[in-house]
Amino acid sequence: MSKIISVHSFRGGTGKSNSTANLSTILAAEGRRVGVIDTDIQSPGIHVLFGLDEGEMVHSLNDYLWGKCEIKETAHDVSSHLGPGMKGKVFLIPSSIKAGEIARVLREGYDVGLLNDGFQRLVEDLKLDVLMIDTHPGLNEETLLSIAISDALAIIMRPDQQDYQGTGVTVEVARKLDVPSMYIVVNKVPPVFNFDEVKSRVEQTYNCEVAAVLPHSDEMMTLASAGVFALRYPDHQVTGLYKQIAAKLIA
Amino acid sequence: MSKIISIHSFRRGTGKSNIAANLTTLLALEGRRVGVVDTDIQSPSLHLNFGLAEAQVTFTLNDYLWGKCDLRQAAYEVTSNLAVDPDWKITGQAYLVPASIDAKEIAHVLRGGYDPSLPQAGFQKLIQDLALNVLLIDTHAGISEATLAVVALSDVLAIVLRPDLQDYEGTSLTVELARRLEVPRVLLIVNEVSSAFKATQVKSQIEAACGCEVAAMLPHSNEMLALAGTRLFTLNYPTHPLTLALKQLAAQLVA
Repeated sequence: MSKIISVHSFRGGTGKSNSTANLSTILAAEGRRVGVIDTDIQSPGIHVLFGLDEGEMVHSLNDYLWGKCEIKETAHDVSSHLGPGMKGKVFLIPSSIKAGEIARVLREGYDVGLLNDGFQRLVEDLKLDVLMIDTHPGLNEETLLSIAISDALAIIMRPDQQDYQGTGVTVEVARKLDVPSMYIVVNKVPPVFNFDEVKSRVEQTYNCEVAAVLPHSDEMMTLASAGVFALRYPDHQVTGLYKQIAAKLIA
Repeated sequence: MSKIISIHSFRRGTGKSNIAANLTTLLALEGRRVGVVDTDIQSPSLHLNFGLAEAQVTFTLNDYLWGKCDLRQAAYEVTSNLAVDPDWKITGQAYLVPASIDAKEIAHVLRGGYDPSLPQAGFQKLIQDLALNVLLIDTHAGISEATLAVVALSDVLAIVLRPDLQDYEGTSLTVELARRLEVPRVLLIVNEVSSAFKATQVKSQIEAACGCEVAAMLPHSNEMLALAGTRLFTLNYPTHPLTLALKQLAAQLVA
């Protein structure tokens, strides 16, 4: 049985793309065929983590949404960029990084139903075990759709006042959409915080399980998206926590 | 001469709103009349920095965009919220135009869209009505028509990015668009610079990658992280290196 997992956050800068890249890599390293789709059309970024240059992008998600190609033609096998330890595969479906194309999709919109069809086709065409969706932050139609068709949802938040409000809204919406399993991941927690306290406070606030509380990491900051953290720092505490989250999401 | 300064970023979570809030504060403390508009309708946050409670708010930017009020009616004076000590005498004034945090209203504006020429007329009128020296605009991240409309009417566009490769491509795109829109001054603010980096090296690397001058390199600060967006950093840490760097930046922006 293949699974669709959405990674979402209400606000930006929570580490959503980094988390998606790390979780995907961990699942692929264990031998799975993993698709990663960047639906953050307004400000794509995850391709950088997988080392996919603009020049290597043949078709993007935008092309599919405009009917220029099949969804599988937008999938780029980036497994070789991830080093020799990959037992499985990672296929990335990037969003376009061309200003004109970003502006066009925002101006003209697109048929959200196409996204849904595309997700299902991808799973079949590429024989995926897992499809990870890196969503656009906030609540909009395509995000709601991604959440609605997901088997599991991870909501990433920082322990920040600005995130607390919005995360509540997201959790509520996801409940109404009957997502089978939902977790909160608290990210970039200052080391001076009491982690257990953060966990129980968040769980009480939203009545939702916290899959992990990740500390702010200088190594992550210094890596500056030049690669996937879990591969560079396989024994780091944060990598261990990502593995824990991946196991819960796939369960 | 009053100035419109937009604070933008291509990716989200760069610290754009926190920077906008702190610049507003610093400029008001120096005696200027400053307005700040939260145009980040999808995920507003400035009201938190300035401690503006939901109960105090009658009209928001959303109401203005729906033609329900004047922009002036959606502006709230927050000067007294800047006083750490009640005896503090603040010579300037700070006004905040918040966006609505009601999920239905957010969806309403996003679904219905609005006349992109509205902000232009509204901002000029707000400057007159409140006799502002500076109007700061906290934009929604990314490239959208609404954002471009705001960028186009700015005297200064400050683009915030982190020293993170995911931010470079999009920032250089934004710089290019701003140049085409003939924004008089475009500059970059690099935020959350790790102390492990050589700042001068990172600075020239970013200037080369994005084709634009870097006006400030703001250090990563665990204190900022721990403040958790509830208050204004510059007021809580008046002598912190980050505050000093923000002061220099504020001076450059209004120069």
